[in-house]
This record gives sequence, structure tokens and C-alpha cells, in this order.
Amino acid sequence: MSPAGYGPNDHLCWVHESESAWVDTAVSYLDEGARGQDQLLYVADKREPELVDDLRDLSGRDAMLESGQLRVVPLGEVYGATDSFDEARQVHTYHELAQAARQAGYRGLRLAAEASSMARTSEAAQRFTRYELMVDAAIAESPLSAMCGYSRHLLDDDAVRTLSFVHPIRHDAKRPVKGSLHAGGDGHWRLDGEIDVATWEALGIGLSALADGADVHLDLEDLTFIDVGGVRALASVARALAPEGRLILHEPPDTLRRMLELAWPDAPGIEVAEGEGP
Amino acid sequence: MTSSHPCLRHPAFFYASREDYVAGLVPFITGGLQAGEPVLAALPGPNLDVVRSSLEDAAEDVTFLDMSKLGRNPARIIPAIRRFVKDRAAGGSVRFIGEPIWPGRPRAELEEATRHEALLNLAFGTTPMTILCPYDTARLPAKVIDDARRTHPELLVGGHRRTSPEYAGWPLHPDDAPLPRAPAGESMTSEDVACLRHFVTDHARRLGVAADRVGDLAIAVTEVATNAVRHAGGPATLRIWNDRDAVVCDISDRGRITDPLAGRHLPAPDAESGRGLWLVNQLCDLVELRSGHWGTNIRLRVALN
Repeated sequence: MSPAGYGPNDHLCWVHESESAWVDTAVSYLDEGARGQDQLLYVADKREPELVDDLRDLSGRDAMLESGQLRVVPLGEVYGATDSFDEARQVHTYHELAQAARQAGYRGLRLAAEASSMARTSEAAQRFTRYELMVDAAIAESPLSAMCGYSRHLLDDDAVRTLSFVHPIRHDAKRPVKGSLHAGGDGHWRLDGEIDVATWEALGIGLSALADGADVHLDLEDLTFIDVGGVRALASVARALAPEGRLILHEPPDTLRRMLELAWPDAPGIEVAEGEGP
Repeated sequence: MTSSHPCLRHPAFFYASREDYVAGLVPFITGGLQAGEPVLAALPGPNLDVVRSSLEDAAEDVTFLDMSKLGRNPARIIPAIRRFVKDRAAGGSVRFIGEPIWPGRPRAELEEATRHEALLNLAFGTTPMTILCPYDTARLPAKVIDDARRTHPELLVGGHRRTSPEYAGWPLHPDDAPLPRAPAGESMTSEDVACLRHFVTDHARRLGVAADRVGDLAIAVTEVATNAVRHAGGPATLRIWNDRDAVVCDISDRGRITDPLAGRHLPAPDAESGRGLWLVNQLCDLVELRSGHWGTNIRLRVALN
């Protein structure tokens, strides 16, 4: 199975079972970008010659390296050490690179990054989850597309699930994650799919990463299911935001409205945006 | 009757005619009002009219609720009483008339209403209030009246109040037995909550449950199955079938629920947990819960119309 049909503004998470599976996936993903006139960037936790070797099956690799259409960069040079990693600066860098690619005549920048090393502890994984959300917002607004690779074997199940959860497009052949939190339009965030015990923790970590004191807007029109524990996570983040900030729910499903009315009648900080929906 | 009590009084009131009914309830209500005790009467529809018309002007000072709606799932009655006490008691006593047991209620509903009667003693044992529970001895089966003697510390018969020698307190039985065997239906055993949920929603739709009620059932089943898988460790077994005008979903696991009042109180706004079974009770038309050394068995019922 390989990724296909992705274009600018797509942000994809690819959970892989082996090193070689990831390399095949990255080659195929970058090849699709090359055919679409993207500038390509390949990042993994390796030295430069190994990165080049990873892409030996990428057609036109050497010519693209020569022309500058393809660049390979060791993970450490991109992100630095996990404890000194500056998320906002890195997001800005990708945004700038994507703009530069556009100015150089490319459709945009396509990035394939194997970033498992950035999420080896649960603390690092939480931090990188926040970064992934910020990247997602940048991707939605830049001529940028990205596939983030995470290794099942290097990361624990919770980290894999949480990192998958904050991508609008997810591939995990073994344990697909049915829900997602990612960037929406107008500075909103979107919660999609099904939220249950499998994604409570991911939802809590993702929402906490967004809660910086101001209002958080959540678009919920594609939320197909949320259970009691999911609403508990929403209420808990809202309580942490209050009184300065609020968690504002847009177009929540009727069942979510009912659960809030029945079981969280006086919950602080959580509001349903009125004047919308059916 | 004195105007205030140090703790709960909970007599069953046996009546055999409309005259008995009025002769018992009207003085209880007017006596309460004269003593300054707020009165809440939750009675099945036709009986509401009987009491209202007998009270005449005094009816205006009484809060009435239709028990056939409030008590459809009897687990919702204790919260309603608690709310009334909180809003109205102001440190004094209150009077509540609750008639959740009426002729013609299906067996499973009568069973839950009887458990509710027994749980009142546990929920309000130290609350200064009187709960009077009318029973129609002319039309209810003898077993139901026998149960009323076991769930009420006092009996009010023919205008006389006396202690009930059969009063059993809580638990009504030394250990819950599982619910009566589920009839043949579709069944699934899994540790994957999403699979169990999809199984139930597919079958509920097929059996004719309306879309919004399928959503209610999905939330309730997910909550019960999640508890089963998380706390009981291991898979949950789920069964779904059609029973007259409802769809019934039965879940069993090896865990144990020890709080007999679980799902009958809403936690404080800042409490993290404790809302799951509460919501299950709000979303389902009947919830039968049995828990013992053998595990836990919960049966959720959602009406088809």
C-alpha cells in the first residue's frame, strides 16, 4: 500500500511497520510530488548519504538533487534536540520554504519526514503533538504538503495513536484511528470521526495543546460519534480555559448537545455557538 | 403526623378504591402544606387528575409530576426528589408522594420500580422528609404488594400507620442474581468498543429504532461496554433483540458495580467522573442493572416509537 492522490494542503500521517516499508512509502509519495512539479524535502533521523541512499528508487533522484528540486536533510538539523525544539520557529521555516518553492516556479513544497525520534518519550510525544497541530494549520494555508512517518516499533501505542489523531489524513493498516483533531478554516479547529475510549487520551492531549488562554473554536459538523469520556475531555479542557477563555462548539451533533444538557448543565467554559446549524 | 422528622419516613399506602385514595392523600398533602412543608406529588396521569380535583384550591401549592413520564425509567425518580429537596426544603422537611407502581406495568418495569422503592431508604435515610407510596391493592398482583411490605418500613392501611414486619432494608436480596435469561437474539463478544457499538447501531436500525434513539443507544452501549472492558478486564458480551414495542440490549462482563445508587446522582460540576451511568439512565427508557460475585449484567431498553 502506498500513498497516492495527495496534493497541496494535504497533511498525512503514515504509521509504518518497518524501515523498508517507510522508505518505499516515502519514495512513492515524493515521486507523486515530482510529477506534480513540487519541490521535495526528505527528512529522517540519518546522515545525509544514508538519506540519499534511501531514495535510490526515486526516478530522477540525482538530477533533482543537482537542480535543487530535491533536498535531503538529517532530522537533527531540521528540528535540533527534542528539548530545545522551537515549534513555532519550525512551522515558520516550513512556511517560508514553501513560499520560496513557489517563487522558484514549483507548485509548492512536498515534505516527507520520518519523525519518530522526536516522540520517543511521552513528554516529547505530547510536545510534538502540539507541533503537528501547528504544522497542520500552516499546511492548510501554505503551498505545502507533508507526510509524517511514525514507527510502530520505536513508539508506544499511545504516542502513535495521539500523533495519528492530529492529522486530517491517517494511514495505519493495523490499528486505524477513527477520529481526528486538525486545523479548520478561520482559526477554528475540527474534530471529526468517532471519539471513544480509543481516542480519549489523544483528544485530551490535542485540545490541551490548543488551550493557551484564548477561546478555542471547534467545528463539529463531521463528528459522527462522541462518547461520555469524549465529552468529559471537552469539559475538562473548557474548565481549564475558563474564565479567560472558552471552548466554543460549532454545529455539534444533537447527541452531544443532549449529553451536555443532561450531564454537564453547569460546566464552566463550554459553549455551543448559536445561530448555526439546521 | 408531626410537622418535621429527624430522618426519612417512608410508608406504603394501601388503597382499594378512589375513596380510599382521596381519603389518604388529601389529608397528607394539606397537612404538609399547613406545616409549611413543600409537597411534590408524582402520580400516574389519571391519578393526578383525581388528586388535583379533590384538593381544589390547595392544588396550586403542590408540585405535580406525571409519574408515567418521570418514572418511565424509575432510576430518574430519586434525582427528581433530590432536586426538589435541594430547591425547596430550606433546611426543613418535605413531603413526596410517589406512585411508580401501577396496574398493567410490564414485569421488568415493576421489578425496577420495586428496586427504586428499596433504594429510597438508602438514598434518603438521613433526609428529613416523608415519602408516601400509594399501592392499588385491588388491582395489583399479590406479589407486588408483598414486595411493598419489604421495601417500606411502615404501612398506612385504612388510616392507620404501623411498622411493616416484613421490611427488608437494602439489599433486598443477599446477592443479585443475573437477569432472567435473554431470549435468542443477535450476539457479539469483543474487547473492541467501537465494534460492539457498530454491531448495536446496525441491528437497532434494522429493528426499526428511530435515528435519534439509535444515537441514544449508541452512547449508552458504548458507556456500558467501555466500563466492562476497562474495569472488568476482558471482553464484554452483548446481545440485542426485539421485545414488543422496544429494542433491548444486554451486556454482561466480569466486573462488579458496588454502589447501589450508581447512576442516580449527578456529580458536582468540577467532578471528573460519575456521569456515565447517569447518562445511560437519562437516555434509555429502562435500565436493569444487576451486579454480584458473578459479574455485572445490564439491560438497556429503548422504545421503538
